[in-house]
Amino acid sequence: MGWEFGPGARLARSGFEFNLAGYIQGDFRSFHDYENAQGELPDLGAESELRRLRLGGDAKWKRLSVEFDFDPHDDQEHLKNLFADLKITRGLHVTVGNMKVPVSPEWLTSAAKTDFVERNLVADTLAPGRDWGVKISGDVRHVAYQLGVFQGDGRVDQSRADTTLAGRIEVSPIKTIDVGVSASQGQVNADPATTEDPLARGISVHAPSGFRIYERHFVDGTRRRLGADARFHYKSIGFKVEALQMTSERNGQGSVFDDLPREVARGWSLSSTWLVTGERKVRTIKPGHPIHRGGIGAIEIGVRYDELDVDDDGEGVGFEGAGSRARNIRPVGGATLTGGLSWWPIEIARLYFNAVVERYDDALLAPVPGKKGNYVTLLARVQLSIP
Amino acid sequence: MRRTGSLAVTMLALVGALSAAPAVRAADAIFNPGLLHEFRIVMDASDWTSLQKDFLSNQYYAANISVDGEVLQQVGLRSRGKGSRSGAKPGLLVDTNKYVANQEFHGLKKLVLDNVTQDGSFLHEPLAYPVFEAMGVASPAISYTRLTVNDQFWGVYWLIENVDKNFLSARLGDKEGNLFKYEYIEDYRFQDKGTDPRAYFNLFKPETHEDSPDASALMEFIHAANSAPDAGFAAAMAPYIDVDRFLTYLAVENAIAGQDGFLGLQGMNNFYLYQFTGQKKFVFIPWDQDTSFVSGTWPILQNVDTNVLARKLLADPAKKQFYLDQVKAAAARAVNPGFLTPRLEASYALSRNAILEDTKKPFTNEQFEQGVQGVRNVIGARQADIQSQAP
Repeated sequence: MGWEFGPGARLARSGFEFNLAGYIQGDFRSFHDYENAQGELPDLGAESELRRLRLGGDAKWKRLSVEFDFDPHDDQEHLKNLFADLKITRGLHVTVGNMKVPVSPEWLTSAAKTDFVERNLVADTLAPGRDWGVKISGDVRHVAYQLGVFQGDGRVDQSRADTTLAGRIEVSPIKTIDVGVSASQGQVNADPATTEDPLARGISVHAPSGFRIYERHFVDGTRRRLGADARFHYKSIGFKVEALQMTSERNGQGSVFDDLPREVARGWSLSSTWLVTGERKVRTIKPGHPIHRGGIGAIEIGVRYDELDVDDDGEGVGFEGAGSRARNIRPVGGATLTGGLSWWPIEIARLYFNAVVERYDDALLAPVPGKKGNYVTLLARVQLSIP
Repeated sequence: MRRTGSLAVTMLALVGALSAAPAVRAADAIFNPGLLHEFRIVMDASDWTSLQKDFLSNQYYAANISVDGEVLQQVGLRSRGKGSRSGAKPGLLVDTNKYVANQEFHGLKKLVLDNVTQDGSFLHEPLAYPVFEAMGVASPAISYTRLTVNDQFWGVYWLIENVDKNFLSARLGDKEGNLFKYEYIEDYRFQDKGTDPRAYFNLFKPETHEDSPDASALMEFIHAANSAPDAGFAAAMAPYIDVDRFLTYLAVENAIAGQDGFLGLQGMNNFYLYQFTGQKKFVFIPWDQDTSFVSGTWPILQNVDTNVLARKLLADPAKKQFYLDQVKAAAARAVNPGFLTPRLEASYALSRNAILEDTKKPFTNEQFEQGVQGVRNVIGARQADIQSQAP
C-alpha cells in the first residue's frame, strides 16, 4: 500500500483508489489587422496569460466515485467540479454535485483535451456552464444518455438562469460514429425593475481574439437550448460537427417595460483533425514515439469552421439597434476559420499553435469600424498535465 | 437705410469675432460657432420615451445620429446632467463607441448635448469659454445646434466637446494621466479629507483608469495644500500646479462673474482636474459655465477667502498682485464689449429663431429675450466694475 508515482499519482488499498489530476496552460496571442488608423486596438484578449491552473483528483470506492478539481488562478470560479457518482448499473449512474450541465459535447470535453486552443464558438458562447444539480446517466447498448436538473445553467455566469433541466442522448450506430441531440430549459429572471443598476442576463459573444461581437441584452423568461452533434473517428482521423440554438424570452424588458421578441442565437461548427504520426484519435492522445525514446512525439493538424449569429425573432420593423433593450436587435454574426497544429513531445506535454481568421461582414461592428473582412490572430499554448 | 448699415457693421464684427476663435476649435466643423448645426437622432420611439421618463438613469440606448448630414450609426445615447437633468428636455451624452469599438466622430468619442435648462439667455457658456481661451486656459469647444429626435424638433442645444482623452491629447498634449471630474455632493472647499481614497473619489470621479483609479497624488496635493504654512505656500504648491496658471483660472472665473465654479457660492463645482502622466502636476479645466455672467457687479475676490487653496495662495502679496493683474488682463483682453458683444450678437442672430421655436425650453420667449438683454447689460458693466475694484 502507498502512493504510486507512475503515469499518475495513485493511492490504492482494498478497493479504494485515489488519483491526482491537473494541468497548467500558458497562452500567447498575437493580433493582426485589429489596429485602427490611430494605432488603437479594441478590447482583446491578453497577449500572454496563465490561462488555467487546474488541480484535483478522483477517488473511487466500489461503486462510488468522487471527483473534484479547482483553479486557484480563476478569480471568478475557484471551484470547477465537485461531484459524487454512484454507479447502480452500467445503464444507471446517479451523480450529485457541481458539474458541467450536459448539452454541448465540446463543452463537456476537458479544456486540456480540446482539438484547438479555444473551444468552438458555439460551445464557448451558447453552452451552459457548471452548476449544482443531480443527474442520471448511463450506457444502454449503443445509447448513452445524461439527464439532470440543476440550480442554474452556469453557477458564476452573469447570464445564469434559475432551475434548469438539461439532457443529451448519444447514439453510436457503429463504432466510429456518435450522433447526439441535446436540450435544456430554464427560467431567467431579470433584476427587478427597481434595481438601480440592473445587470443584463443575456449572453455575451466574444470571438477567439477576445473581441466582443455581441453585448448582453436584457432577458427574462424561458431560455431554451436545442442542439445536435455528430462525431466520426477512424484511426487517426476525426470529424466533428455541432449545432446549437438558444432562445431567450425578453418579457417586460423593453425600455418601457414592454415585452420584446425573443433573442435567438444560432451557431454551428465543423472540424476535422488528423494525427499525422499515426496515433489513434481518442480522447487522450498518447504519443507512439515520444521524444525521450528517440521519437518525434505525436503531431496532429486540424481545421475548424465556426459560425454564430444573434438576432431576434420579431418582425424586423422599426429601428434596428445594438442597445441592450432593443426591440429590433441589429443582427450580428461572426465566423471563424481555425487552422491548428498540436505537438505532444511526451504524454504530459502539449504545445498548440493555432491561426484563427475571424470574418466580420458588418463593417460597422467589425473590430476596426468600417473595415469588414478578415482579422487574424495567432495563438500558442503550452500545456503540462498530470496524466 | 440706417438699419441696414447697422446690420452690416454688426455682421462685419461677427465675422471678425468668429475668425478670431481659437484655430483648433474653428477647424472642427461640428463646433463651428458660425453655424446653427442640425443634430438628428433616430432611435426606437419607446427608447426615447423611456429616456425621458427615466431621465435620472444612466441607461444607454442605441441610436443613429447625424450632424449637418454626416451620419454615425449605433452610438450609445443616455440622459446626462446634474441639476440640469430633465425629462421634458433631456440633456444627452453621445458615446460613439458604446456599441461600436473605437468608433469616432471628428476624432471624438463622446459628445455632450447640453439642454440649456439653467440659462434663459442661452449665452453664458458660449461666452465664457472664449474668455478662458483668451487667457490661455484650455476649454471645451461649444456650438449651437437644433436637435430633432425621430424627426420631431426638441429645441436648441449646446453641442459641447467632452473633456476626455481626445480633448487632453489635443489641448494638453498628454492623455495617459489621471483625469478627475469634480462631482458636487457637498459644500467642499479643498479641505483635507483624510487618508481614505474613497473620500476623494466621491468628489473627484475618475474619468480615466476607472478600473484602477489612483488618487495618491491628488490626496498628496490636497494634504499639502492644507498642511503647508502660508509662508512659502506658492513654492510648496509648485510641484502640484502651475501656480500662475491656476491663479489665471481663478481670475477668469471672477472676471466673468461665475457663481458656480471652483470659487462657487456653494463650494467648489464644475471643473475637471487632470494629473499629467507620470507627474504629480495637475491642471484645472473649466466645465459647465452656464451660471457665469450673472451680474455686472461682482467682487473680483469673490470667495477666495473661503477656499483653502485660493486663500493660502493669495495670502502671498506677490501672488495676490499677480491674480489681480490677471483679472485686469481678462477685462482688458476679453471681458469687455469689444470682445464679447460681437460674439453675443452672433450667437443671438444665429440661434434666436430656433430658440423662439423651442417649446421644450423651461423659459418663455419673453424670458429668453430678457435674459439676452441681461447679458448685454452685464457685458456693458463688467469691465468698468473690474477696473473700479482693481484700478
